[in-house]
Amino acid sequence: MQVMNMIAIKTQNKVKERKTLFIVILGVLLLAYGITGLFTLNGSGAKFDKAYDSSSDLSKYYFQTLDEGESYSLLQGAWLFSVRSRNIWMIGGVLLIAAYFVVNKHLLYSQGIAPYMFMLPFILTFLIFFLYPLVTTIKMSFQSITATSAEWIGFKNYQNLFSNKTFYTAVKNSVRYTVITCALLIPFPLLFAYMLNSASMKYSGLFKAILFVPVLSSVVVAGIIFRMMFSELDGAMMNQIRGLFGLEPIYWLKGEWTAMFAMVLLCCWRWTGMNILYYMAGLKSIPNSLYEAADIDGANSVQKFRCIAWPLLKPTTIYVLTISIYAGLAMFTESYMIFGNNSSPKNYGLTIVGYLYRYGFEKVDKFGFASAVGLVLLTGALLINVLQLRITGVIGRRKGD
Amino acid sequence: MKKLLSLALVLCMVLSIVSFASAEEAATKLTLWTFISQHDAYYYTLADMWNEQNPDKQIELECVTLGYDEMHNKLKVALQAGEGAPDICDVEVGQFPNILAYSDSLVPLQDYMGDLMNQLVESRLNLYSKGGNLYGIPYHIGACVTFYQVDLLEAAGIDYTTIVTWDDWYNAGLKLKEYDSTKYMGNVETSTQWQTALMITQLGSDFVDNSDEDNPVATINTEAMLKAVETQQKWVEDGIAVVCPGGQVDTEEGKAYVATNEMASITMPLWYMSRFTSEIGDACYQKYAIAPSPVFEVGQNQSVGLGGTGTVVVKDNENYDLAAQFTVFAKASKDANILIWQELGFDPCNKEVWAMDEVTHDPDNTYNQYFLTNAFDVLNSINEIAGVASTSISPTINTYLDTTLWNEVYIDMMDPAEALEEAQAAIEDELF
Repeated sequence: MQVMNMIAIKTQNKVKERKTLFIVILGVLLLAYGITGLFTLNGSGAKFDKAYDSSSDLSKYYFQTLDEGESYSLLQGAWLFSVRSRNIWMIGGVLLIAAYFVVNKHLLYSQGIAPYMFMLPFILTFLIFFLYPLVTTIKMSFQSITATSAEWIGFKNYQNLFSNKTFYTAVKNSVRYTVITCALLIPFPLLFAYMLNSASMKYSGLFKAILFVPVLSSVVVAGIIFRMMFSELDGAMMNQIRGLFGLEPIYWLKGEWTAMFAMVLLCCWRWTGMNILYYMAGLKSIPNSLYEAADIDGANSVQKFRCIAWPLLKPTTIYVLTISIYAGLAMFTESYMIFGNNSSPKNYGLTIVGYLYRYGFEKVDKFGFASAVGLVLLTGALLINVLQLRITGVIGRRKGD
Repeated sequence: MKKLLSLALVLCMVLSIVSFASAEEAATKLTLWTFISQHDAYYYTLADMWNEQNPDKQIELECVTLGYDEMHNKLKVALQAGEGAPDICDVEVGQFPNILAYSDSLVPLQDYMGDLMNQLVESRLNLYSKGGNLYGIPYHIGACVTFYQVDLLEAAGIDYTTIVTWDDWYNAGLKLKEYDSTKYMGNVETSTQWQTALMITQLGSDFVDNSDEDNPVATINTEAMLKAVETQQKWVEDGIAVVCPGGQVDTEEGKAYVATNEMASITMPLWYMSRFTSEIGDACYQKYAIAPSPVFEVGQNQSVGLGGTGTVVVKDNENYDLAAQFTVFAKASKDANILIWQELGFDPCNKEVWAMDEVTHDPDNTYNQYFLTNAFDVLNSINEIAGVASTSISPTINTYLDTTLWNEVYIDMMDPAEALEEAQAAIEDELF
């Protein structure tokens, strides 16, 4: 009886699904219509709306520009109206899709759809806050965007970028910073974690806390304190330390390597604790039996580290390396806070993101150029990391295994 | 009972909504962004004055103070997007050309100014104008003067009133060195160019040639620049001037250094007075006299208007008309200009105020008490206050000078002529 009932319900549901299918199709179409409207805009949507409402010149804010004396055709006019009302179409589309699921509530509980429902918050965040800006950035990198208009200029932004000397300074600084921080922030945290993890270490809880506290501090506050420490006044901390060794005070932030030293020190101070945490977690997952077996074989602690801990920590090392490369190339706040603003003496503290910030936000009419900088950075970081992950064997080489 | 309670609750809510609504009706809300916290109090005072004088046009002002970079960048993005900008905003003169790119979104203020247009110093209004429209109203002239530390100079046997030319100033420096070799006569700046701007205007030049308003040209490798840089480099070489800690005296480190009283003179715009009173404090109280700056040759302009902040009104917003009226009242009216001196310690643009003895020589005024001479006596004695151009390429030029050129010539001691040629080429390279 029950089985009969369930079959009946299932058939009913199927019929309902089919009958209401047009709602979801309509919803998707409306949504797509609104999104197309969004992408046919050029520059600011708010400015387009205002210009449309006051029926002034639209061509600055719309992908299709007009020549002198020309006006939009009837069809184009209808399309412009739909662009103006794009929010209504998009909201309407979403509501219709939602309505479909309200009517067919059983779908939400089906095995096919439920997982996507749980993923929905992430998918939406990804689409709205990552994919949409990314697509727009790619579009903008081929445009010259001024205060009032956006114009297609092909690869000119990229040409300008690769012929600009300051860009290479920024790349040099970022790469140098990344290499140094990776070289310091992997071996030392590993060593500290190994020491803290060993049973013979006393007060390890205290040391863990001390090493971890900087991670919790704000980079802005830390940056200001580092700026004061590295100040060129005689009374500044770093100059006093030099004084202890009988050395003259120097202009810390006005020298190429001393400025780099300040930035690297800030980074190491802040992130050592975090990387220790990763390695501690890695070490905890190594079974004790391996060490015991090594003890039986008479291995000393160096051998145990080399043959057990290091190989088994490889996934952790790869993870730390990957995020360190990304963090190094994307560094900006540290430099900004240490130098007090985005312009450092002779650009010693200028990073790629600082360069992007300079053109995108500090200057006008350079949004397109800054977009190109961002894409070059993204491509570079991806290439380096993909290469690194290939070399370490995380990606590729699966078939042969 | 439950019903009664819920009824009371509903009544409360309705009442509160009604009371909010009536409050809203009375005053228009205006938002204002500024990047200097002292300006807040000033605007609130003026908002109160405005509300007293205009019962039918009440405003409710909300000032937001943001960091210098943060505020200007936010404003630019908001103007680019066409939404999110405040009603009124303070814009620093160095950033003004960037904001002028969005002049379509700003309110031309000359229609609101009326007669006040003629009362304010024209060269300052020109800084904030484009295509015949005035988009920003200044606080002050920012006339460059020299602050002399009288005790120290007298102890070294120097009478600061006899210093007329930069040569006199240099010789006084040599004398000071003999008296106490740890002291300096002055400083050179590596992260800005107040002093250099004064020097090159005295030599009839500027950082930029804007005879063609649409195509300004960077002029860095000029004779005037060479002379200004060579002069200052020699000061550093001979230990007359110190390379200012922090890049210039208007930074945290710079102010801390001024407070040590190791420099016998500081050449800065007059608004630096307020840094003395509010930030440097007791360390320099009653130690400094204000005097006209030296010149290369007698007859050259003794001062130049530097720095400054123009207040703009954003057209994208609903209440821009009222915002513009208030801004003109708060920045250009005579009452406002008196307050600009009394509260902020700036040299107001309304020259009528300069002649009002009861205002300028008020013995209770903080600024009059702090310094040994009166700022307005100096202002009235200065032969000419020149101006520097501010153009669309100025921000790019300034970035290069402040990050690279000054460091090359005053720290690495690079040959000035060579450095200037390099700077000219590098700046032209940046202007794509």
